[in-house]
Amino acid sequence: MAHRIRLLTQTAFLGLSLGVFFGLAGGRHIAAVYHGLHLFPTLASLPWFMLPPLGLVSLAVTGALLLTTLLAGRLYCSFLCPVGFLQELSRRLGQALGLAGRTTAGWTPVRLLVLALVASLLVHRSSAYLYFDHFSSLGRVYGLAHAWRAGGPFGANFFLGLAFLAVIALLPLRWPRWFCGALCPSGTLFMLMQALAPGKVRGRECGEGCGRCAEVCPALCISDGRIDGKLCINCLECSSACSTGALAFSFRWPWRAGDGGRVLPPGTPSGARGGCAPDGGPARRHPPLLSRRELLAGAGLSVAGWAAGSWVKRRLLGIIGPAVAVVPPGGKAYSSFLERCVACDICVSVCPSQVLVPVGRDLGRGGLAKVRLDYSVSYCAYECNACLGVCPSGAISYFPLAAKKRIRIGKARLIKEACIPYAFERDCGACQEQCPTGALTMEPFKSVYVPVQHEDYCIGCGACQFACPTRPRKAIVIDPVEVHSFVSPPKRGSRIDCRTCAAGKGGQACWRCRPAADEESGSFPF
Amino acid sequence: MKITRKGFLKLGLTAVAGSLLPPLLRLPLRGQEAGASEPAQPDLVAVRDGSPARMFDAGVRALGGLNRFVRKGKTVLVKPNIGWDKTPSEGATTNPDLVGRIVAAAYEAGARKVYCFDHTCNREEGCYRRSGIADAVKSNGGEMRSGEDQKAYRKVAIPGGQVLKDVLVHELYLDCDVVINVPILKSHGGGRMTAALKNLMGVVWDRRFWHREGLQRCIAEFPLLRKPDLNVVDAFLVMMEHGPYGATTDDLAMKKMQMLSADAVLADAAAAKVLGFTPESVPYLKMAADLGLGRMDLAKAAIKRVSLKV
Repeated sequence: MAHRIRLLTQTAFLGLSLGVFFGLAGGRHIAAVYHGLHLFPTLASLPWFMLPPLGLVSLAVTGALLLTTLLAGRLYCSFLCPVGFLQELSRRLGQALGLAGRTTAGWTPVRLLVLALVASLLVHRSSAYLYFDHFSSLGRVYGLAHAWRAGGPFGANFFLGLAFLAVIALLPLRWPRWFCGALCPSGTLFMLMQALAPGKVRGRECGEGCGRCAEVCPALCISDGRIDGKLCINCLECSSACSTGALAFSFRWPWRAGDGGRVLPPGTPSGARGGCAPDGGPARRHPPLLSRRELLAGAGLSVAGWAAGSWVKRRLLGIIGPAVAVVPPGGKAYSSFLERCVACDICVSVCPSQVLVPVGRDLGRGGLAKVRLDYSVSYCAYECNACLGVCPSGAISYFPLAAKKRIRIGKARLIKEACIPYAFERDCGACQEQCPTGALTMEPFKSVYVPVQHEDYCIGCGACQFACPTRPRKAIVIDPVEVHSFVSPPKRGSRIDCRTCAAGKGGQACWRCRPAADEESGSFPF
Repeated sequence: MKITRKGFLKLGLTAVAGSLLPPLLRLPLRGQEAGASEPAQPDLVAVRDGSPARMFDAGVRALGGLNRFVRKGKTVLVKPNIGWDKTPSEGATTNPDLVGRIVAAAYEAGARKVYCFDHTCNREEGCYRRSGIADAVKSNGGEMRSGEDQKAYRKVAIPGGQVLKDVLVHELYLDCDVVINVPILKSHGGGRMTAALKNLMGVVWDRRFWHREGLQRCIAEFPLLRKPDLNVVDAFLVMMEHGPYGATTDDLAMKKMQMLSADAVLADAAAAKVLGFTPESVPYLKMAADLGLGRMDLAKAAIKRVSLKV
């Protein structure tokens, strides 16, 4: 029963994750719920005003997730997590291939180190935790399809995606849920919470010793008649497979008498395979979650991990200015964007213009695999704010379209020596044609019209740079800005032209000031 | 009086001749009247003060009916300007009601199939949808085709082209029996204005080449390949400056006009006047006229002016 339900929910969530990453599933509401289930990106996007519009929904879901885990253990890991599901599929394949399973119990100190490091990075506002985060890693795996379809670029995030794919597809062939049991910081946190949780699978003496519980356990956490709390994901597979009811999900408050919650089935003689041996001795204390050695090593490594966080942020994976790339509108500033981006590629996959591209090494180690705008391949569409509503980590804040249209993410610079009408006296105007804000106008110059900049209106969308036909060097390029800002609303012709036209200055009247005789008379100007 | 046979014949012949005389005398008179105000087929019809769709109906009737251009069983390409991801009220794309009406009228004239496309500047999906043109075409039975796929373009030589020699042109422009060019009139930074001739830039693949090698010359030379059969210049809502994208709706003037002509250069010359230019100040118009692609002298053209004001 539990098996079927799990298969259903896991498949549904795998589908949902695909939909969210590829921008297909039910819009922002579904995405908000999905994001909320992913702890670290949502926590990183605090305070709430940096969240996407439905951020409070995400936050509520995160709260519910934490509460559920505190009460009933790792139900997220066992019933929902798509990364866990993919690893279970891999394990099934491993079983079919006859590979013997090995546990990852020995990795516990490493897990504690990773958890401490990730917590420290969150506090230090560094998104370097992305290398351990299952949510963004899954995004990079999905991004492989994107890169494959587009024929590249096969950069840092392609290889990160490939590496994570290997971790969740190859290692679990032998080590079930290797990632969950060796690295995943959410998994480690949930493991600690589950140890305190009143609701979880518990066992007692069964008298059968059939061993089915150990067979069905997807985390390989039942051996010698014990459930290893470090690996158990509370999936209920063992309890529903148990024919005697010796293994069952139960609620026992830790402060209630008898400390029942921490008593395991009376042990089996060591060496017995699986299940609960019929001839168990007297009930004995559940071994603590962590052995003394693990506790000491874990504590030491946690301190080291916490200290390493600040070093990673300052020295190893910090974001170093000045701005050398244009980052998405809503990113607020070059460094603050890159410090929050978890390189999950969701924005890359929803960008209809495909101007968002993963970064290679050009932004330094800290910018590796994160996102920038590349105006050599496209430009940021004026009538679009698709990427502003999807960012799970608060790197891109949400702004409504009307506000997004005024966000300056860069600034155009005209290079007259390369510009066709300036240099060759031939009409062109490709840049002005595309400019959505009136930051470029064409003015008479010799026998042609040349582009003239009005910087106050430029938002740095890159339409001009993309359209510019000169080669190899573009005659108009966007310089990145360190901090984004709001520009004036688009250029309004009348305010500018009417100052200089017919108003007594002897100039030629503009179309607004010319008497509109034919408009009144119903005749034509020809 | 005695009626002799001879006398009878004389009288009869005189009567016949007399009865023939008035029509014979009046014939040149009527011809003069007609030539002064009502040519059978004007070179250019200008309509104003109606909705774009109504102005098309009145205009094409004055031009001699759409059957002059669309014969039974022919395939028709309607080529509007759908270049930008903007709504019809922003005046950057051809009025969708007008495009829809032309598609319907082409079917009424017996067209076998009516197609519509544009090689858009912004992303096609947004342009087709927000301009309202995709809906208008489909609801009138026409077929929207994509201009984003390079596979739909064929390389052809421009006969007599000096700058423009080999061009990748969309198959619909090459293969359809009839081309109805439906630009919207706008100011244009690089080209000075965009209307009938400039609108044809939307059927080629590589526009950057035009900008790089001489925008004016390329616009003028392209119709050497094929001239549109009918040009309908939508001058209902006209972008007077900051075209072709436009900064705000402040740039728009409600002109409520439409120019129809088989001669793209002539239609553009009239359109230039609406924008407040002389046709001579638009370099590509002069070049096109010199290439023999049309006439730009409005004074010598037979223009029929129609006002739908009630």
